[in-house]
Amino acid sequence: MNRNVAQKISSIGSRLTLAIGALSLTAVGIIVMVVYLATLGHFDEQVADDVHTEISELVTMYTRNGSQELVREIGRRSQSSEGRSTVYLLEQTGGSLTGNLDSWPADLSDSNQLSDIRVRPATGPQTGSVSVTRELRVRSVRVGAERLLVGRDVSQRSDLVSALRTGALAALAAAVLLTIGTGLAISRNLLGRVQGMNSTIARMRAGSTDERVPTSGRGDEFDQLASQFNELSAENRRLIERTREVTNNIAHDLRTPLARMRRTLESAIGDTASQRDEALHTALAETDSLLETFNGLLSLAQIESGALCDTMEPVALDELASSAIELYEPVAEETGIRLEASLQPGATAKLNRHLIAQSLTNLIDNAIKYAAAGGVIRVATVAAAKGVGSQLIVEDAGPGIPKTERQRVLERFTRLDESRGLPGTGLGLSFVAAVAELHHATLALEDAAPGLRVNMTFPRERAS
Amino acid sequence: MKVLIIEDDRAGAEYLVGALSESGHVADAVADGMEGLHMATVGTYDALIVDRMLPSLDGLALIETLRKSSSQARDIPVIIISALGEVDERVKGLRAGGDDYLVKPYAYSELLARLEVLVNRKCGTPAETTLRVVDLEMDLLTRKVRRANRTIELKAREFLLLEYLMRNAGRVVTRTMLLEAIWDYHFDPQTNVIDVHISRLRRKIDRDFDAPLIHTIRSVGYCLREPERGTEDQ
Repeated sequence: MNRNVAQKISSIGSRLTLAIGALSLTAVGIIVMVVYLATLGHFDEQVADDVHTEISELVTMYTRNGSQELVREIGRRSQSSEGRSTVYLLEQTGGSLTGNLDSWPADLSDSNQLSDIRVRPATGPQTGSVSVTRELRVRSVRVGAERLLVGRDVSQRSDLVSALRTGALAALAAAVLLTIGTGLAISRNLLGRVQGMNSTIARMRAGSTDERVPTSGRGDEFDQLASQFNELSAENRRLIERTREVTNNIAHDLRTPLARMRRTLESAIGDTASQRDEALHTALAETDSLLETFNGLLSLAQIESGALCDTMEPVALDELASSAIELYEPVAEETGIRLEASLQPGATAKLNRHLIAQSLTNLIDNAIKYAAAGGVIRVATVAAAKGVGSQLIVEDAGPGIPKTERQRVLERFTRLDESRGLPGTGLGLSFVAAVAELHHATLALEDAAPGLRVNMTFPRERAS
Repeated sequence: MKVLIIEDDRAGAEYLVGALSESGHVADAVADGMEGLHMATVGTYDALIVDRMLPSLDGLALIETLRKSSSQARDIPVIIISALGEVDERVKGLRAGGDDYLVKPYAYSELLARLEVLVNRKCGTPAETTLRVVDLEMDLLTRKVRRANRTIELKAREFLLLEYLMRNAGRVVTRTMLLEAIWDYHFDPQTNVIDVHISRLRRKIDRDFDAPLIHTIRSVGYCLREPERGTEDQ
């Protein structure tokens, strides 16, 4: 139970709701406070202004026209319509009072400052108004030997305050309600979808491979997330599938020579010494070819991990090619194949010399293996031209590779049926493909009509 | 030849010591890096075989220290043996001061061949201008080859191949050694290209003469030497 609550609080929905709540309450609070202070401030300022103006008018009148005129003026002002909200009182030296206040307020400090006082109206028929306590803000000054008091009724101020308070409370309540509503909407809408994703992924992890994270079709961020995830899991499935396939291939391709070796060794037991030696030599050769396959796999893995990127240097392709051609020329000649070079000087690329040399020998090796006797193998280098990087091409006039199989032969251990009988690890073209990818080069298998043309095009070097 | 093996795989080291003494050499083995460095510095070895992964001091650091030291062992030929076989690992090894780099698992015959070539090279034959094996002569300046006073025409790579064989006359050279020395290829092409090169060279060097000089050493490589009486390889 407690854990449940903790979980609720830790969920994004609750936290978001809390955050939104805090934010909107703060915002509403600030607005209310500003309105409150501004309104009351304005009110107070108005009152102070009015009182000061009246006092200075009356004082001016007194200094100019004397006490009699002031008494008359006060009488006039007290009777006017404004008189209700403005109070005047003049206390003459004898103690006689003129104005619309019954008595000089007792609690008035004589400080020439504005001060708030409460006045209970005299019980008498002459006012006729409801007998309520009036709240006044007054200021008194000495005028000669007399005392003058001017003030305004500020009973509205408390009305204003209570109105503002009510408004503020209403606003805060609205904010709270809105927050709760938003929180609920978020939980139901957005987090509901996250929940859906979560449970789908849980099912996927439990082994249900055909699951897909649902999308709403609106193309929003959640849909993007879902489709990203779906692509990722599809890619994952593909990789797992491929790994399984490769593992099977490895097992198969290694089992065959191992079985051969076992047979050789088994039948050698009890043989004469020279026969045994023969068997050991055969087994040794098998071991070497197994190691070759292992090394091939390891270097493929290393190249695919991209670890060799920092071993690149600019190399002239034609020199690389002529070196490989020189290596293979005798073999080609022996097999009755003509090795033709068409090397354009100036074809350079930034590359790992060893890897490209090995790729090139793999390609020539393949070409010699598959090209029919009497055929021609063309090794070409093409210098970078407008928009195209340097190219390395190996072309044979053999049977070629059907269009549908061209992608597949780049994968590990793919050997087309026609080549099952020929020696080779089935890693040659995978190696070339991985090396090409490491160099960001494009590897194209094309129809040389007849035959296969392998074209490795290096990326254009940026002019520096 | 006296060899120090610095290798922490005891079984491997023991096998090497046995095999080397069987081949007529003397070998000591030590498993610890620091100890190996000490022994290499104070001992009088002709070559070191150093594994890369060693306790207390790794192989590359050992070689670097040795090369920077002032001991007389600083120029000793070193073969690095390692399970790390990638191109850049080899480069690291040679940069640290190794003379050769062999990836595990290797054939003992390959190691021995490289060791013998290396020790011989380090013993140093000063700038010769003519190489001679029996009646075969190679003039390195004019790049002319003659056997029994008959001029033999060789292509550029054939010349390099023969030069390498003649410089290491009497010693076995493997196919990978030839690929490395002449093509700078540190991998084995699938087809036995070297065999074909050798058989072409044979045609020019040996065919028209009584005694063949280029001998095939089975499942190891080749050897250029004086024909021995009676015991001829196939």
